[in-house]
Amino acid sequence: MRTRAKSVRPLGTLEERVMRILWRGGPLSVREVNGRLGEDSLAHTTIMTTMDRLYKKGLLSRIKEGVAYIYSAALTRDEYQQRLVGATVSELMTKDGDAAPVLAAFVDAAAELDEENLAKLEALIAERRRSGD
Amino acid sequence: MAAASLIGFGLVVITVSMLTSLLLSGALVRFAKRLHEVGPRAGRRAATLAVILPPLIGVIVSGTIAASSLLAYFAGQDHCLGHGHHLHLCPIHGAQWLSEPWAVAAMAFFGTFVIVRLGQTVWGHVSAQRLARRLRLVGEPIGHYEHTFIVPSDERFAFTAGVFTPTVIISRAAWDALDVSQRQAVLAHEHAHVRNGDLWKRAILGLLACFGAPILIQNALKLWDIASERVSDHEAARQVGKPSVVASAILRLARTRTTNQVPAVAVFAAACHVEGRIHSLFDHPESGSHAAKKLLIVLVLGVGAVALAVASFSESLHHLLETILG
Repeated sequence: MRTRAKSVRPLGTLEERVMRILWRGGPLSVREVNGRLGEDSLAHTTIMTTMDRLYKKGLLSRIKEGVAYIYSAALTRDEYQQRLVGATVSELMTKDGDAAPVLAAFVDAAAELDEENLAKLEALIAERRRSGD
Repeated sequence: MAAASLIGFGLVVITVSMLTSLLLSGALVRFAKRLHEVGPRAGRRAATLAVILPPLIGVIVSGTIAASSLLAYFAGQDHCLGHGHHLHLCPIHGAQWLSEPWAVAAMAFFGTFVIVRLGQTVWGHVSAQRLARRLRLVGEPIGHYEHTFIVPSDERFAFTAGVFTPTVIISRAAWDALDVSQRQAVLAHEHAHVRNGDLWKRAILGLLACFGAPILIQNALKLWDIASERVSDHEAARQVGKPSVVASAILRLARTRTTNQVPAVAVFAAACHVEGRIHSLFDHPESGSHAAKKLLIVLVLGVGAVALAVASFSESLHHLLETILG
């Protein structure tokens, strides 16, 4: 089975519909996916192009059976969403200084904390909690 | 009216702004520790003033000189006629600025710098808005809170993004790592950022920083960032009732980094100084609102005094700047 690993991008409307079908059940051929679109079925080539694109994005894997490819989801829906979030947050965070106002993180990961300091702070918090602060 | 005189007045704005920034940002660095003790609101106000005042004073000086020049001209006391040995800071006789290559080059350089910075900032905010929207689409709304979402992720983070529609994003891993009161603390902290308009205020300050002294102005912005985090911490502590809950939430999320559970995605520019924030919650329970108000009064009086002084000595100042620049 062949897959292509690429960075995760948001899905277009048709891509989303195709992925939903394959997340619900697969593996499926292009014809079968198109059949499951029901009243919204489109030209065979449109679905084929879309699925090929999803394969190239690394979201589908495929094997050749005869003359046709059989596709299945390379990632579960949860995995896809996690990767999308990871890629999006990464894009937000790695902006240069000018984008700093875009974000207000609860904890700055750039701050350096060693285990000894953390332990001291934990002890301080525990003490304050005991005294009712 | 000579449009080229804008070059001269522009140079006055930049020169005065840079010098004032050098003075104010230097003072800010000098008194940073004291401001930390007084409270985060005072620190934030001081940092705001250090960024806003330089261009404001630059504009006041430049505007006053232009106004006094015009008044003198229309009153028949045009001072430019009396001395032709240097360039004139005058809306009527300022055409010569265009024939000074260094002046044109300086203004072109600075103008390009500001335009590029403006473009970067606007683009940064537009793309952040798009990315925040993407996170909203995969996120799950939290209770009755507006624009607050949990997103599926094994990494622990919590942040607010988006100037136009500020969105609070918390990862599922962070949410699950916190107890109920700590979750309230994190939400209260992020919502305080939204309520205080920290994102758009920081965007404006970032732009005004173009007129500040290099390096020093970045320190002022960093101080503003840290103070804003502390203001939000104090507001969260007030809301949940116990500073120790906010402190423990900060530590819980900070601790994940030492166990290598948060990769580079959690890195962002503004330093927040976890240790300082926790000590601030316990040792300086006052947010420094009174001191911040005093600073505002000082600002109004100070700007008024500067305006008055510039107006009173506009003629001497006018000649001095003409001699320096022309």
